[in-house]
Amino acid sequence: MKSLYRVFWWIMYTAGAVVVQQAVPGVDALMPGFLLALQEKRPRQILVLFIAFTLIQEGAGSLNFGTAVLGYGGAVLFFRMSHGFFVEDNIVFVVMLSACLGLYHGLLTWLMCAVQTVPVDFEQLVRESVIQTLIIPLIWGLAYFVRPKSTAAAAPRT
Amino acid sequence: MLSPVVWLRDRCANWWDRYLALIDVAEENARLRTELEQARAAAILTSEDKAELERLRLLLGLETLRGRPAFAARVIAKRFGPQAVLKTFTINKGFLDGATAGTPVLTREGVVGRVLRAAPHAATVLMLTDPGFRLAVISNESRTPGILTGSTERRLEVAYVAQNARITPGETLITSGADGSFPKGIPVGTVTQVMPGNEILFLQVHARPLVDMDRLEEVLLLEGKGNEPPLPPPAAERTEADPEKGPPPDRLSADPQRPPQP
Repeated sequence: MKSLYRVFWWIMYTAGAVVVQQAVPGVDALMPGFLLALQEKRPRQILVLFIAFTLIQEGAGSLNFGTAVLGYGGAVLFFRMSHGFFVEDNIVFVVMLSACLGLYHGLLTWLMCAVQTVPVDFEQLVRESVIQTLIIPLIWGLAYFVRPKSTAAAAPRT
Repeated sequence: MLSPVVWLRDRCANWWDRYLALIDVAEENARLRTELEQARAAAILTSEDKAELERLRLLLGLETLRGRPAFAARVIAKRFGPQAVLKTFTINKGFLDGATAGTPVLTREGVVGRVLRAAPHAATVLMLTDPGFRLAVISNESRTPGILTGSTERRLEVAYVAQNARITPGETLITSGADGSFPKGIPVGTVTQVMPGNEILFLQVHARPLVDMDRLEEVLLLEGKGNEPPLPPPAAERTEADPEKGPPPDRLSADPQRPPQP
């Protein structure tokens, strides 16, 4: 029953994030949810969300396949690198991580565009990276407080 | 206190507007009647010209926009997600409906873009304003050809316009038909600025699109001709081929009327 509820919760989160992405072009609203899943440390849940979010972003994007894989892969890498130094469900940790991810989003997009010879609007890219940096803690905070604590508390802590 | 004065002023103004200011109405009426007659005559002449143009087009076998099969599609999504780098939108028609890659997309106002990639029942359309978009255009008055591209700013640029071209701001850019997918004569944009270019050979020409890309709801797709085989070679070229060996095999196979020779 709990697992069914978790599936329902993630479906609702994904639907909400898609609405946000439609309203704010160029922003990844699924990333805060992915960070939340990383904090909960359920490998199966992380894998399923990684695949689902990657497919959504790759399907909707206009670049060739691989950018979303690198994007969420980078998020895992940043999380693994920094979670030893901070308390993971602390807002400061999330703010610092979102700053890294915002910068990473800009660099990754620029790199992938250069590789695929796609012209880049630098002003737009910088603007979207800043919005990405600001929006991650906001959505993460909202999702963290909305998500039932019994579901989140079931995750093992380090 | 002031209400009687205001009432009196309004009455006077009303009387002036209704009676004294209408002295020239009869004269104006006569002038408008004459103009109406002239407009009616011009409309009759125009309809005759239009009918003649259609007859001549049919006679010459020229392609017209009306002759191209077209179908409508609804815009179902705009730029979406962190990887939406290109200026694109999604429509509800895919390759099973005829929206293949390269299909021209337009509205009543003019060109919107072309299909970039297609799924079975949805397709992504690359907008005219994207820096990666290219379209062969010609200006409608000075007949100056050029290659229209989008840019990272909210404007269009026309490349490869010769320095001695007589293109001027205000001219409408139309498709030249040289790229093989867009038929000739579809409006694309209006020239806004003409400047000497940084290069020696070409002018720097800026334009703005006729279609408001932020308010797209429905679009029209012309069935593309990009996958059609090339035109058959002219008859003179065929006769130049070696009579013993016959024409090249690829041309033979392209011509169903002539079976391959042993």
